[in-house]
Amino acid sequence: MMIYQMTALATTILASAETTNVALHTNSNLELVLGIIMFTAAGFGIVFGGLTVGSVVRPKLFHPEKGTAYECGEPAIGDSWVQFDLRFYTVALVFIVFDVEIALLWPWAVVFKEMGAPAFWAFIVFFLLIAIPFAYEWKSGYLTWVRASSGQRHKPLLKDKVEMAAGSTPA
Amino acid sequence: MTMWLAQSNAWAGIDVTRHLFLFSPMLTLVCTMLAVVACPIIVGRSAKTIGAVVVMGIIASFILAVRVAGEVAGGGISGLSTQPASGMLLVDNLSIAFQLILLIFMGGVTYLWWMGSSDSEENAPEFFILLLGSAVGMGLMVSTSNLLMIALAIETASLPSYAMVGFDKRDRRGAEASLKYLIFGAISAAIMLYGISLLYGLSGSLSVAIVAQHCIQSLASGHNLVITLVALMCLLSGIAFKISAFPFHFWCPDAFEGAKIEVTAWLSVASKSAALILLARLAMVFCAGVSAPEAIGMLSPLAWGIGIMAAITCTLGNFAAYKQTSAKRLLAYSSIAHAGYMLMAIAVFVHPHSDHGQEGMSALLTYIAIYMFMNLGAFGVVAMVVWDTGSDNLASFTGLLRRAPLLAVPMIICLMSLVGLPPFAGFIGKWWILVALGRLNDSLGWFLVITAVVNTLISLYYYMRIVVQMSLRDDGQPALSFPLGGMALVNICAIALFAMFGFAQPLKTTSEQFTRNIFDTTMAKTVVVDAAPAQPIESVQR
Repeated sequence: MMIYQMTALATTILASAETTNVALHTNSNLELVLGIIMFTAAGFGIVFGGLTVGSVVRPKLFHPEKGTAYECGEPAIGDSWVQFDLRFYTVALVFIVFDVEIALLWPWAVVFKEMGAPAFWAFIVFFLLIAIPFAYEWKSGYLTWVRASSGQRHKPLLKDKVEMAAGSTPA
Repeated sequence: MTMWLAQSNAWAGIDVTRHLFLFSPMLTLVCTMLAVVACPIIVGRSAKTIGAVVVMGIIASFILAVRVAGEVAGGGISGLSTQPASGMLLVDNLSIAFQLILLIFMGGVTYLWWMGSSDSEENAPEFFILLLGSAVGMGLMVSTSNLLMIALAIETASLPSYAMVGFDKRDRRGAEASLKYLIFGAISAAIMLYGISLLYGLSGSLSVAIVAQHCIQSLASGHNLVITLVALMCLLSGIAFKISAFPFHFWCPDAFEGAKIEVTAWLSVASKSAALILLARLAMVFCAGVSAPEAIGMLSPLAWGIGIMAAITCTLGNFAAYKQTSAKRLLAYSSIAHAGYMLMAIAVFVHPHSDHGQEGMSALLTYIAIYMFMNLGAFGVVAMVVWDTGSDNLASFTGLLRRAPLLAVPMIICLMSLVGLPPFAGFIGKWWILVALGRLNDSLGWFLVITAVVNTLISLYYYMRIVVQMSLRDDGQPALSFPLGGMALVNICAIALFAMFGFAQPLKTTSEQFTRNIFDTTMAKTVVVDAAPAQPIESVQR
């Protein structure tokens, strides 16, 4: 309840500071600082308070199954500290590029009717700026998951990795 | 085309066609970039093809830049915005002059690359995407007075540079240099962005002209003084990193030594001079904003600050070059020293009692034009020695006058020009900066004149070391084999240095023409601050 009141007060103060921004006087400045402090305190409170309460209240029954990454019965292969394949990052980068394109497409679509033909051509240019490099990437084979380049070193198979991770345990 | 562009309301205030035309040199470079990307898809990855596409792009861009230069000769525009005074991009004499220099230099670097790498390079498209990308960034750096664009342009110029330094993946030194450059660059970019955000918070505007007015007000009244100074320092540090001025110069020798020689030549001239012109423009806008008599005194510390930075930069560069045995590293320190000389020109027109703003500016522009030829020549010779002997150690220069006289003579000319000895153009460049400083006729001016002269004497020693190594010593190494085209390039540079000395007066007139109107277009005086500027955050300091 108290947290709710504090948050409500802080939002009110912040909102009022925003609306009276034109004529800031020293008093509202102080209130602004107070509001920010309260906001920060509430933020920390919720996070650490929740964790503390949880650690006190919850039952402590340890079991090795609970410590595994997937509790759904799927046995984990190796540990998660292996070096991730660079190909994942390529895919992520391509995704980001198109993600950003979508984000820019949205405001463009909103004003498209007013702007008319210039907006269309402007976006065509922008689209080419993305499409041509994408075609380049495709052509260069960076999107192929299994690359057929002869220069690549032999990578250990997944099976070998599992055995290496298993270490001393007999097969 | 203009008709249908003007149909819609949102574009009504902008003459889009004209603005696109004025910005066409940089747009052409972007199109060239796209063409280079498209090449591997359509015609294959042959280095010669890529090189030809790039050269065509550079020539097209150059022709357009010449035409734009004619267009803006009467006065620049601040464009791509409905508010002419605070546009995102400026196109004026200064920016076009730099873009012309940049394009010529890029032609030279591409030619050097053609000589040295086009036979063995497998990744030509990638290299030129990076080169063109950084060129576009540098072109943008000089044509903006908007804080956001400054940050974007510096990043556009920097990020490809980091990759270019470490371009050869198999070269461990290159990778190390690239990492050092990247870390330094990232940190200074972060500091600069912090400063920009503070300035935006204080003034409520990203236009440097308006920011400058707020800064000058707070400097004059003492209101928010500390935070304004901190913000300005942060902004300056980002630019000083690109210039490699004194406290931010550490990346320079390592990055230059580790990079391929074409990249080193490119960074040593293009990146530094772009940042210098950017700083000059910022300084110009700040000075133009100072009209109140009580605020004029505020400029004095600023001038001293830049002056002392310049003095330390060139002294440090020269002393550090003393004991270098690697020619690349030596030229890296020499480029730090030259950045110092060029910074002095900026101190001239920041000075409160200076009516010689244009003089300082034209001296800077001339120096950059001359410096381009000196460095291209010197790096060209070093490149050819490296290609043949595989080492850029001074020992591989031994007896060069006998082994390859057609390389040694231009090298001597370029080095003497770097010292600033007549009858070479380097003397002219230095002379005008000294004249501009001397005309200040006060302690700062004479301090900088003495520093520059003493530094010139110091620098004589280490440049002479190479000359002595080439001419007086000989350990019987076999004659150097070098590409004829490369020999032609360095000789053209050497002849250009002679010619620029001979035609010093036309050169001066030209650079004065190119700096003529900039004091009108970027001036804060002409800025009509809109009726309701955004409210600044009050008194953060208290």
